[in-house]
Amino acid sequence: MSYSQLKARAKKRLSQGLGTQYPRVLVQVANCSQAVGAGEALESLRREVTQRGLKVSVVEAGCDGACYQAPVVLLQHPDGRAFRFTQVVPSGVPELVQGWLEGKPDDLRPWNGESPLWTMDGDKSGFWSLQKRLVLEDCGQISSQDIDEYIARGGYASLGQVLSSLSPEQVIETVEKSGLAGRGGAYFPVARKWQGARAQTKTPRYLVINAEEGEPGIFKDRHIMEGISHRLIEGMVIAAYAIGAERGFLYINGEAHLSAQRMIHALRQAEENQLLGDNILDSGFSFHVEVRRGAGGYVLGEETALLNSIEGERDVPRTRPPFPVEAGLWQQPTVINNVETLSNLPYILSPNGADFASLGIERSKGTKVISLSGRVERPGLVEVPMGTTIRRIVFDIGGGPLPGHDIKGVVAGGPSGGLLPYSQLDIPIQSGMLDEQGAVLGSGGITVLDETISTVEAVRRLAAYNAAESCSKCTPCREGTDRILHILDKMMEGKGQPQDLDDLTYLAEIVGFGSLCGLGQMAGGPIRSGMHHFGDEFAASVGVPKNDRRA
Amino acid sequence: MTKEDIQKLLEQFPRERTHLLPALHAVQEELRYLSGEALEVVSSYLRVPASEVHGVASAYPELRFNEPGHHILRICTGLSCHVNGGTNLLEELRSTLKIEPGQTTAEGHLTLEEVPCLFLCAVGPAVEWDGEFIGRVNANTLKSILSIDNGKEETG
Amino acid sequence: MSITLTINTKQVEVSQGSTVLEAINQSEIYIPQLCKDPDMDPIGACRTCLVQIEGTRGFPASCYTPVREGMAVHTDTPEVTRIRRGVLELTLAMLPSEVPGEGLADHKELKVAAERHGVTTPRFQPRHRDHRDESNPFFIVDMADCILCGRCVDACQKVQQIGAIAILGHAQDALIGAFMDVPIAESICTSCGQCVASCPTGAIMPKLKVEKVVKQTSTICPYCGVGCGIILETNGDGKILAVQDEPSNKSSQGKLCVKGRFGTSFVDHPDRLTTPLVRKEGALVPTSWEEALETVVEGLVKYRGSVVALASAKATNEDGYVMQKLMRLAMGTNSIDHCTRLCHSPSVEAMLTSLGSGATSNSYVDYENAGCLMIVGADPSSNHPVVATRFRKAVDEYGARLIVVNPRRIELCDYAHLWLRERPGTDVALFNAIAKVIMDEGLWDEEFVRNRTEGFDKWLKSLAPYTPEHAESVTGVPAKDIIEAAHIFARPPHGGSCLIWGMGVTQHTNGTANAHALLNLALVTGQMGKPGCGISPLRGQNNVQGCGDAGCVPDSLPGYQGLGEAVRAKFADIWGGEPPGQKGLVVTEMMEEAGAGRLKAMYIVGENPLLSEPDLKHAKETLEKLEFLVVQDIFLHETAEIAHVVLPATSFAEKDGTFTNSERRVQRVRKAIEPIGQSRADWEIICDVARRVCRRLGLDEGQFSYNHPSEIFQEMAWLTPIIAGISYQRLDKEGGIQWPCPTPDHPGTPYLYAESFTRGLGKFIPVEQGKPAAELPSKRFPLILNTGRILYHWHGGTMTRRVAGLLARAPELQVAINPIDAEAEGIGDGEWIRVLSRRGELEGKAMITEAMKPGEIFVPFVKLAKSAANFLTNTAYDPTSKIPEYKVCAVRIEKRDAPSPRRMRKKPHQAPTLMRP
Ligand SMILES: Nc1nc2c(c(=O)[nH]1)N[C@H]1C(S)=C(S)[C@@H](COP(=O)(O)OP(=O)(O)OC[C@H]3O[C@@H](n4cnc5c(=O)[nH]c(N)nc54)[C@H](O)[C@@H]3O)O[C@H]1N2
Ligand SMILES: Nc1nc2c(c(=O)[nH]1)N[C@H]1C(S)=C(S)[C@@H](COP(=O)(O)OP(=O)(O)OC[C@H]3O[C@@H](n4cnc5c(=O)[nH]c(N)nc54)[C@H](O)[C@@H]3O)O[C@H]1N2
Ligand SMILES: Cc1cc2nc3c(=O)[nH]c(=O)nc-3n(C[C@H](O)[C@H](O)[C@H](O)COP(=O)(O)O)c2cc1C
Ligand code: SF4
Ligand code: SF4
Ligand code: SF4
Ligand code: SF4
Ligand code: SF4
Ligand code: FES
Ligand code: FES
Ligand SMILES: [Mo]
Repeated sequence: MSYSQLKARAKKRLSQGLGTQYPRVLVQVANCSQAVGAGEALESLRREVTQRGLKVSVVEAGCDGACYQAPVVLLQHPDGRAFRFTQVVPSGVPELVQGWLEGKPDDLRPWNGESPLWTMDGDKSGFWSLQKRLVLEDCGQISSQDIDEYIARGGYASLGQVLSSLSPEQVIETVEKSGLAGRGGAYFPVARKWQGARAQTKTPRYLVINAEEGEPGIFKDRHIMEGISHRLIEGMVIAAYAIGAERGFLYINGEAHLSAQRMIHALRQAEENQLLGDNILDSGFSFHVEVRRGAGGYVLGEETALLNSIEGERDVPRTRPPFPVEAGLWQQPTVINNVETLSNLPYILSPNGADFASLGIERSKGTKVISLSGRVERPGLVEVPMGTTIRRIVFDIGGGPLPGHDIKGVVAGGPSGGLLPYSQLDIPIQSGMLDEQGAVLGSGGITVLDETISTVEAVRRLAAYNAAESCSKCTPCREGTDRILHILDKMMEGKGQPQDLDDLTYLAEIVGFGSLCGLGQMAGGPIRSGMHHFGDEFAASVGVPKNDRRA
Repeated sequence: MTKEDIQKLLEQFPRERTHLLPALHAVQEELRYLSGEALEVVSSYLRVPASEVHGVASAYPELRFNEPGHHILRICTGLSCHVNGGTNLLEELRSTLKIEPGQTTAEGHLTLEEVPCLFLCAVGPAVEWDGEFIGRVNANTLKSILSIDNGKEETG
Repeated sequence: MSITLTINTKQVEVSQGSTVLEAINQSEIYIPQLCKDPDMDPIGACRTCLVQIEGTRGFPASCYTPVREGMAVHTDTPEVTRIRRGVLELTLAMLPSEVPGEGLADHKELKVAAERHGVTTPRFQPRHRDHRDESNPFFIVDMADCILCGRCVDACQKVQQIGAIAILGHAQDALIGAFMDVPIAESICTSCGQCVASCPTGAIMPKLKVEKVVKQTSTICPYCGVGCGIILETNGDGKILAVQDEPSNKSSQGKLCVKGRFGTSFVDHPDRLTTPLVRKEGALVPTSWEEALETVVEGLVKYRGSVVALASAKATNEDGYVMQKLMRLAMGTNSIDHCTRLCHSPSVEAMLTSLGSGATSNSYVDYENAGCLMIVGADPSSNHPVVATRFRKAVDEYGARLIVVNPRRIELCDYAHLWLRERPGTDVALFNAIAKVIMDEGLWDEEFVRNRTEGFDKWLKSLAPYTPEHAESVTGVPAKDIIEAAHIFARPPHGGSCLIWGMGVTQHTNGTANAHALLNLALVTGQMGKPGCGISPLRGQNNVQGCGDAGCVPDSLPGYQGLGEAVRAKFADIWGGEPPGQKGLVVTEMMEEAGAGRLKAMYIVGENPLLSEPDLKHAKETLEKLEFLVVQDIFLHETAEIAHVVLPATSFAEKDGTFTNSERRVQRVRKAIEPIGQSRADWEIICDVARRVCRRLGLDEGQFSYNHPSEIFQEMAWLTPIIAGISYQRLDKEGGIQWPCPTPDHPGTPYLYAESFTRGLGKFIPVEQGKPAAELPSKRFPLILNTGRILYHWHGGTMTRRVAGLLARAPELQVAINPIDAEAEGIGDGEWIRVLSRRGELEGKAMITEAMKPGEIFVPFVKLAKSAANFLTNTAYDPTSKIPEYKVCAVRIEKRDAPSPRRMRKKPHQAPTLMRP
């Protein structure tokens, strides 16, 4: 079947559903909204609608990223109007249904409806208007589990285009022009990686989709898989075509059950629609994906550890060279890409794709999905153009400090990143280091700190994490992260000595320069940046008065 | 579960090393943990030396070698949850349950674990109760979670 | 292609594909490399080999960074030295014995590295790690000294392919341990010591005290036919301190098993024979060489005409060569044989008939290239352990299919794709059926059969009755497994198929037929004469191949040259006398003749028939009938005890020579220590005897005047086309060489039969399944006794019982019994039991195991505490090869303490009358 036939079929099917004549209600159910009652809200909505015999279609969608509002219910009226109910308490559903859906769909109430059981979002906040959504477009607005909804909105058009009219080389060229770089944290140019694999004569080649997402503070890949599953599938098939892989592994975090469940469902749908599997869209190209699940651990997300895990080995990183593109899974050429990275491809290969390169700043193109959490008014998932300042993300989109508090800084890049003080938040997000001391964009985690938090304690938590997650393979990381933790523990207990600060600096250096993989190499970041930007707090914790510090 | 049952369970996988982690998952899902005997069956079924099976299994934090309590409560003290009170919740649990993270209450009723992130950071503090995630947790939520089960559970 | 780069200021040239570390090492600049074993792939864990490379960011680890043309590498900038030093300080901080303020502890490579980086005392308080395992008799594993470099694990997993140890746990809790962290002696560890050799800090350390090594001698392991290279380390007093593997050995490539690495202390065991002994007034008493030799010569001359000899497959080619020369030239008889008769004579017999030459056709490396390995009636993990590593590697790393054919579960079954568990003695039916499936399904190699073989049609007809279903009823192997085996063998997933077999095939009254059935399979599938396939009767003794090559067989001269006119003339030319044309006696016939009183004297070198012959009681009675028995050995074993003269030979460590291993590789044996006591090398003793005999008989004693084994080898090479191109010089320069090697510029032959067979065409020999065994279970003796070997003992145990550690690993005779049979007798695991046959009995400890089929038990034939399997075995033999049926006899078991109505009465020991010249 060709893509246009497929699309026509999808539209036809959808037009036969309730949704085109009657209101449709979407409940945004995703990993975290589920944790605050979205599942129950959906249940009770379904129950109400059935009991009352309403002609309303109830749809389970993913979340759109406004976590602070979760659970969110969307009401889409056939006439195009839409209403957004936020922080919906499951017990409020009957009232919601009664008030909004029963009887007179034409007589909808205006904005700003308020209830103790739900609130309405008029987006006066700026949470939406300042975002630019490419990867997350439609996320939360459609059912991720109905492939036709995705197709009807133009989904899989890029894949159709690629398979029918572009050679793998042309795809790589397009991606090269876009400037897309890996969103797993290392920002390696995607096209370069693909070329590296294509340059190998050995076959088979493999594509591994890194959906391990094990870095604390990050929840974007789950979100994509749960909310807009087919965009990822479309992206992975494009990538597989470009590199000439016929087999791939989608490696999903062991605790991301909902992601796995929805991806497995979506993969099956894609196969049924000849968008995956043998002879995709009659192009002769075939690609098969196997889903694997992790079992915890930060380092598992490191690409070579992931390969070892697929092979049934301990999830410890490998030495490089050889690089995975030369000798990866079972020593065959292997491309590993992150979920978000691949989810950019449908856009890049769409007719508007050339716009991608105009977004962002020099060397950092496109958008980035940021996981915002911590002491901030509107935690959630934010997609912004590269180059947006952290201040804009935290204050304008994230709503700034919690009432009555003062933001003193952020952790950028989590345990592999570093701290930035309030004064430095005007740094634009981009690949590579955000500042000299260790803050990085990484996979896009920003955790906001305010005056209630001791910086030394924050750094200690990150250090404790690195020490516990060290895979044990290499000495500087395994031993050094542990030493660092012990010193910080001592400092927290009030037993710090001035010498400890020198030891911390020394250890951060040895661990950073000596370690085998990114975990150890980046583990000095929190220490260095914490001590640099919040030197007073560190000095105080070893009993050095403020003004003596430099002496 | 007998050795034969485990063997049966494993027969869904081809006998190749790549299926080691999936096999361990399957066993843990059934048994709730990985017994030495189960590891031996995995070893011989997949033809991977037992020491390596053990080595691999012990590399992953989510695989267990001891039978956990009837319930498992995992509480996140990652940075995002910590700043919103996660650590305080853990302290409370410690004193009510009188166990340390990683331990199980006397009657084998409840295992308490501290985790570094549940990836619910935007709705923290977060806990996982018997596999179910719960966000925006406070002292009251915790109490009600534990009391669901109060018939059997003597918290303290 | 070579690449030039600079290390600091030095220019070095290395081959493409080298690592920076290799270049640094070549430049002789020091850099630590704690986790890099010179013979293994880099691990990259220790981070002590960090360097700076101009134009590259950071500090790459040199051990896995490839060299590039023009690269500028720095090992000594302050920046990189600082990082390495920091890493070393963190490494020291793992070890409790490294205390700040004190000097560095003795952690071998780590200590050197720290000192080279100016670390005089540890910087950090060490962490606490308490996990010490002393359970293995040979070595200690102590985590307090472990830096988690991972070398031992690679050694165990990747080199030995055993996987007894692994890195267990995570982050700072990681440690080296066995499955479920049990003591290593309770694990599947084979005590091979590969991990010991690889540990850079001494965390895994031999229990034997380390002394200063003064000399290293590269030689060959004295145990099995694999022929591994070993390095004997000796101190100033010429005592062997330790054994290291020889990485440059082409057969073993740096691998050893427990016997090679830890099993050579028998060499200076106090029981070594240090003086000649002669029997006086019924007792063996020490005497001078002069008297002993004169006694021997006296006897030999007196009984000339009814003297036979057993040569030693433990001794060198040179020893064997002079022995057969003595018998043929001076004693005028071809009656010389050796243990191959009890071993692979059916294989050799069958191969000679079908192919024209009787050796393994391929090389060990072919096992790694093969797509299918069929291992029949052998237990390589115990008996050819270093070859077994290749089998495991083939399966594990290269995806080969392994088919095990054995009634008993062996370790390799863990790796097997198929395990054909047949009833003992039914291999002909099984292999005929496999061949029939191949023919019926058209999976045969028609071209090969047409061009390279004969006798096909007749053979094909003979297969008719052997349908898989019929075979199933005979062998007990499911027909579908037979069919699958046929499919895999004929169509391996890649490469070819190797057929490997051992004593389970040969030691039967059907032995030769069994071997033919195997050969027919190899012929019809064309699995010979190319890489990655071939036929391998795994040779047993260290030099059993060479002993036959050297002519210690009654039906041919050195190099399997028949006794024909021309050959004898050629020998006469060099020897100054013609070897006899009449075939001599084989071992089994010698025993019969001796029993009948027709044979009067026997000269036994390095063999112990009174533990290795079947039905020992009978064997002893037989040997006691001899009027004159000379034993030349390193220990006073059961046979020596009844000898008239005992001559003390040196062991392998005390002499020069060559051994030829199972892949036909002639390898140098080098003297590492001086002879123990008054012992003399076998060739010296034999030549001395020969010269004296010649003198008496008026022959040319100059024929036995050699100054060095190399002269013997040279003579042998002249007369023996298959080794004509080999010399000591070449062996010293090139390492071992595989025969045939006809000329000095010939590189040796990794596999045979590329173009044709030795006899021209390969010949199909139809064989029929006969009665499975001469003695089958009966009501009174309902079980089948299967005998063989275990890893830790060598045959009767003469050598291995004298190695404390080996004995500690296997101190008691274990009888493997299926739970059903044990239950029937009410026997519990570990209980002492008695095993009885029509001929004798033994006591052993029950080992209840599913490895045995109901109705079959297994006992290794080592003698422990007076018990030995050969008291029970049957003397029935294969008519063609004359091999005894060691693998099947009928027995019953009972609890030891059960009253036994039919206890054997021991005959009072009767010493033979002393011979006086
Ligand atoms: N550790 C150690 N190594 C040794 C030796 C030693 O004494 N100790 N001896 C060396 C010598 S001289 C030799 S010849 C080799 C021998 O090496 P192997 O041939 O491996 O020796 P065995 O253990 O005698 O027997 C091999 C197998 O044959 C099986 N078998 C028994 N009956 C049958 C049958 O009817 N059919 C089939 N298919 N299999 C059967 C047995 O179960 C056993 O596992 O080992 C050499 N290596
Ligand atoms: N039940 C049963 N019996 C069997 C077998 C079986 O499988 N089952 N297998 C049979 C087989 S395959 C074999 S090969 C035989 C082996 O039978 P034997 O060859 O009799 O056995 P070994 O104990 O190896 O004997 C070798 C002797 O050589 C001595 N020796 C070592 N080095 C030297 C040296 O340099 N010079 C001299 N002069 N002597 C030395 C040792 O001390 C030892 O006494 O056993 C056979 N017997
Ligand atoms: C300690 C560590 C953890 C990582 N975790 C992840 C992860 O969870 N997901 C991910 O996509 N990449 C992760 N990475 C990055 C991967 O190694 C790799 O760069 C990435 O998957 C490549 O895909 P990309 O080029 O599309 O970003 C991690 C790296 C390190 C060093
Ligand atoms: S991150 Fe996504 S899934 Fe989680 S609560 Fe926020 S919007 Fe929902
Ligand atoms: S840096 Fe840490 S996580 Fe990475 S290989 Fe080394 S020990 Fe493992
Ligand atoms: S001695 Fe050999 S088998 Fe045992 S642990 Fe060491 S390498 Fe492994
Ligand atoms: S025991 Fe020795 S070889 Fe093994 S990891 Fe420890 S230091 Fe390395
Ligand atoms: S395999 Fe054989 S030759 Fe090699 S070390 Fe072991 S006993 Fe010696
Ligand atoms: S830090 Fe608690 S869920 Fe991420
Ligand atoms: S030798 Fe290179 S990291 Fe250990
Ligand atoms: Mo043998």
